[in-house]
Amino acid sequence: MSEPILRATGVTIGFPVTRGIIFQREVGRVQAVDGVDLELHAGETLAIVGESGCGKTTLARGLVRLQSIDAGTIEYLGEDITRRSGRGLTDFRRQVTMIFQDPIASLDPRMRIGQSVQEPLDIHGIGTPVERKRRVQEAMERVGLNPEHYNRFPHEFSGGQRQRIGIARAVVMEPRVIVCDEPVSALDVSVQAQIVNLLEDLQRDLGLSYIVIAHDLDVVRRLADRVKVMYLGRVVEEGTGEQVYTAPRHPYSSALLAARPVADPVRARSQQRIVLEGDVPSPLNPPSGCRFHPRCPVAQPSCAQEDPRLEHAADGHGWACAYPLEP
Amino acid sequence: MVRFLIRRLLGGIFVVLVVTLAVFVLFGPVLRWNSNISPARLYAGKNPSPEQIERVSALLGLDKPYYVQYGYTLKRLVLGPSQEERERVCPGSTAAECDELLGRFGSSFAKQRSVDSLIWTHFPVTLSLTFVAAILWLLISIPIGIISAIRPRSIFDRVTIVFVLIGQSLPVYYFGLLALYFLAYRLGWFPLSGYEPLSNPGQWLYHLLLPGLVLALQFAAIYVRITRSQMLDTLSEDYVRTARAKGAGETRVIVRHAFRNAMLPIVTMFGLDLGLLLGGAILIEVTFGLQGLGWLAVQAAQRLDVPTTAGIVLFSAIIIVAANIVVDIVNATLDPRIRLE
Repeated sequence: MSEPILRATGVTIGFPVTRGIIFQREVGRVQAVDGVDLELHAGETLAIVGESGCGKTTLARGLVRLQSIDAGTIEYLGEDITRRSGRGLTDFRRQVTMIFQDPIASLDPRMRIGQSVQEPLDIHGIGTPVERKRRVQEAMERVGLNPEHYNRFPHEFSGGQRQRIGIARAVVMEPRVIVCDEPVSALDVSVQAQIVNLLEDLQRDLGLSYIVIAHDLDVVRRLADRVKVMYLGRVVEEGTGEQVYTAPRHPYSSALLAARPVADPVRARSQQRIVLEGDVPSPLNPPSGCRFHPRCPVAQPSCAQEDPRLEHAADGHGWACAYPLEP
Repeated sequence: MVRFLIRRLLGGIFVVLVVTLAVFVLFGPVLRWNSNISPARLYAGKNPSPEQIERVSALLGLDKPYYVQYGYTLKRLVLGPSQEERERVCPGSTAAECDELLGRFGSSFAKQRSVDSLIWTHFPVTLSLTFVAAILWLLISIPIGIISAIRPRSIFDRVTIVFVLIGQSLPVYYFGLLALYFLAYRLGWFPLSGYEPLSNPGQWLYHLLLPGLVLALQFAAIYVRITRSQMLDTLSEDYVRTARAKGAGETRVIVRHAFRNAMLPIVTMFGLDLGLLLGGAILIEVTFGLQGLGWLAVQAAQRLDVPTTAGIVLFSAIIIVAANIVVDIVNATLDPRIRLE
C-alpha cells in the first residue's frame, strides 16, 4: 500500500489528577489514550468505535492537535507534526479539519453562518474577500445549504442544517482529511441518514479521507472501510469492516456487536446476547493484565497477569486477546 | 421592534405609576399618621398659628381628600403646573422665572425653588461621577477578568480573587475616607472635596478622579468576578473549540469568540448598575462632598423636605425603568438569539 496521509504511532494522552485548592499537586494521571497506532490512507474511512470514556474523542482531538500529546508521534504526509506550533500548526490545520458532535454548541451564536464558514479562510488569509465569499457559497451549496442564507444566524437552522454548516466549515478549506467526532449522534435518525450520505458524496467528489469517531455501529458499518475498536484507551481489535463485523475475535468487540439493536424482532429473539457485567473500570487505576479481564465472559486466570499485545493475522485483522474467539 | 418598544414603554409607564402611588402614600398619609408630620405645618414656617396652618393647607390643597390630591399630583407630573397655579404662585414673572418655583415634581419646602430645578442642578454632578466611575471600573475589571479566566488558578488569578474580596468587603465610606486622608490630605494629589462643572474639563476630571476611583473599585470587584466566570464558561464552549480547530490564534479566539459572547450578561448588569447609580450614589457623594442627587436626597430628608425627597425617589425610579428598557434593546442588538417580538 502507498504511504499513508496520516500516521499516528504510540499516541498517549493523559490528564493530570490534582488534589488541593491552594497548593495543587498532581496525584496521578488518567491515561485516556494509551499507545494507539493508526494509519489513514488517501480516500479511505477509518472508524474508531467504543463505549463512552474509552478515549476515542480524546484521540480525535489529539490527532488534530487540539489536545497536547504526552508521547508518540503524529505524521502528516510523512512529516512529524507532533511538536509543531505557530505557522506550521496553522498550515496543518488547513489540511486536516474537524466536524464536531454537537452542531448547536459548535457554532458561535453571535456569528452569521457565512462568517462562521468563512472564518478559516480569513484566518489563513486565503484569496481575496470576494473569492472567499464565493468559496463559502460554493461550500454551502455543496453541503445542501441555500447560499442565500449566508447572513443568517445559527439559531435559525434545524439540527441537520447546523451539522451541514459544520461540514461546510470543514470542507471550505479543501482539506485532505476530516476528523468527524460523532458526526451524527446528536441528530434525529431520519437526519442521520442524510448526513451520512452527504459525507459519502463529499468523499467521492473531493477525494477526502475520514476518521470517524462513533459509537453507533450501524453508522460505522455504512461509512467505514476499516474499523478500530477501543477499550480503556487502547485498541483491542482492528480490521476491515467485514472482518470486525462478521468475525470479531476479541470478546469485547463481539459483546459490542451483540448489544446492537436489531430491527427485526424474530431475529432479535434468536440472537445470542452477551451482557457485560459492571462498568468500564476507572482509567485512573486500570486493571492489571488485560484491561478487559474483569468484565470478560471468557477470561482465564492468566488474563489478570498478562497484558496481551495487538497481534495481526496475515489478512491485516488484528486483536489484543490471549484467548480470541473462533471466527 | 416597534411593537416591542411600545409594549415595553407601556409596561414602564405602569411601573412608574405604581411608584408614584407608593411615593404618594408613603410621603402623604403614612407620614402624617405615623409621625404626625403635616406638610402644611412644615411649610408654614416657625411656630405658626393654627390659622396660618389652615391657610397653608388650603393654599396647598391639603384640605382636599387624598384621592383628589393624588389626582392632582399625577396631573402635574404629566402636564406640568397648571396656569391657575402659575398665576397664584408667581404672578407677573416670566415663564422661566416661574419654572424656578414651580415644577412637575412640586416645590421644595426648604428652599424657594421647584424640585425640578433642584434635580436639574444636582443631576449633572451624579451623571459626571457615574460616567467617570463607569469608565474606570470597566477599564479595570474587564482586562483583569479576562486574564484571570485565561489562566485560572494561576498566581495572578489567586491574587486577583483576594483583591476582589477586599474591594467587595470594604465599605465605600471607609475606603473613601482612607483615600481622602492619604491621597488628598497627606499627599495632596487630589482635591479634598467639591465639584467643577464640565465647562472646565481638566478641573472637572481632577475633582472626579478620586471619588470615581473609589466607586469604581467597589464595582470593579464585582465585574472582575462576572467577567472571569463568564469567560470561563464561554472558553469551554464547543464553538470556542471549533474556532481553535479552524486555526484561529488565541487572541482571535478570546476576543472574537469568547469575549463577544461573555459580554452579554456584563452589558445587562452594567446597564442596571448605571441606572442605579444615576439615582444618586449617596455614600460616595456625601463622603466626597459632591453635591449630586444622593447628597440632595440626604439634605432633603434631614430637613423633612418632603417634596424634594419624594421627587428624587420618583426621578430615580424613572431612570431605573428607562435603564431596563435600554438594556433590553442593547441585548437584542448584541444577541441575535433574542427576538424582540
